[in-house]
Amino acid sequence: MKFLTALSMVCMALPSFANVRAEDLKLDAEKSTIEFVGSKTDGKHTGGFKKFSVNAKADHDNPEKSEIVIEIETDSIYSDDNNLTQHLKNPDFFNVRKFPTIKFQSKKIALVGEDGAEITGVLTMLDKDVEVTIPVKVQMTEDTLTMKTEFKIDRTKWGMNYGQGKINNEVEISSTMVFNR
Amino acid sequence: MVIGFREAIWFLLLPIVSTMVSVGIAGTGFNQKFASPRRLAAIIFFSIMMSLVLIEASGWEFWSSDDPWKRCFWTACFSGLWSAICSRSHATLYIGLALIAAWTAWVILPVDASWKDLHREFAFWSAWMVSGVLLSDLALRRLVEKNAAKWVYWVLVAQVGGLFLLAASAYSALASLSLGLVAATFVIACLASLRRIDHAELWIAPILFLCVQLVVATRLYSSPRPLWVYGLITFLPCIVVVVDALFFAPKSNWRRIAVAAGVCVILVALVGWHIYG
Repeated sequence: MKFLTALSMVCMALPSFANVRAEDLKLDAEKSTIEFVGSKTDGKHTGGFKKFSVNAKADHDNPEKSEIVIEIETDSIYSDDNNLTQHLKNPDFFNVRKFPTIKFQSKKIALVGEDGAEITGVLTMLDKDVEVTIPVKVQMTEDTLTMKTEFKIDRTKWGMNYGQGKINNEVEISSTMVFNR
Repeated sequence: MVIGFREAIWFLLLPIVSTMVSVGIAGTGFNQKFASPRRLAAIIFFSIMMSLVLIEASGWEFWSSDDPWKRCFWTACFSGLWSAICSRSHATLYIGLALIAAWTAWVILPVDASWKDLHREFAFWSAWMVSGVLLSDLALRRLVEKNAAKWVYWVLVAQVGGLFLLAASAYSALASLSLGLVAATFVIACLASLRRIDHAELWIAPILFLCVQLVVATRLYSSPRPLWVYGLITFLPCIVVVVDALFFAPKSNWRRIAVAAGVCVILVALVGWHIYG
């Protein structure tokens, strides 16, 4: 009986211990980037977003329970061509007036190898929710946690259909997020 | 903007064929019976067919608060109907067109919060739309009265051509509708030149309304260009009329045509050079 009581006390204590080990991460916006490369039949363009916010919680004991929510301000889009930047803002692409944010909300995090993970979540863009899985590499120091990723998305899944046949459907995304601990 | 087979059917072939049918409905000079109902039917048919171009380009949202520029279809239709009804009375015609133009300015500019940064400019663009439509309409009708009915629509072709250059650099739906407008105006210009068209002034108002509204819409969907670019396109007929009246009205018709063509080419080339040069 004493043993059962002791066991139940340990079980009750575990979640609170886990909470202690969960850490809110603070984004270092200066060092963080979200960039993309769009390709077309006769070349490619690079660009990215200047403004985004990240809410991230790292659970060191149960990394699978970590969470990350990214919100991107679509109006902060930039590219290597000013005319293209303006075009990217209009309804052919991001329709920034109507859809001012792009949101990624993680649902599941799976560890891959020693320093990698796959984050599965919902990417909401142009008012459409599509589940995506993002491979990330994680580097940790005493002061910082850095996440790097490179992956591709099919823009047409969100209804971004402009220029199909001339502009590739697949867009390369790369991001570096640096968090201060 | 590269035109594929499907786009060519919707944005070139459909306007071309439907405009020819519309002109046919309005009458080809042999039968003046029921002239007014024919004009009305022609405008309604023309408006419906142009609305199909708009639907293909941008979807079925003629009263969307998100994309109010699509309401241009209604204002163009009403201006055409009004000019079909009032073809003989200038005062009534212009009072009606002025009211429709003011209503146009009211309904096609987006007022929701996401456009807040541009709201200050809207009074200016509203005045721009009203004056652009009325002055250009006056200018083109003056040309019709001054023995230019055969070539007046080429001035409109130049105007909507300039619009297309502007729209093609902004947003594909605007570019597609502009291209359809170029095709439709081109057909009317050809038929007018061949004297295969009656009621030469009938198509001026709806084409002008579409054109001026789309010029303003391109301002909303692209980075601001110098005012002279919008001005050259919106007021191109006025510039042609001024040049025609000041210097060349007494000369031969061919010389008038050559001068008007020269003015149009220079102005459209200036617009194209600024945008793509």
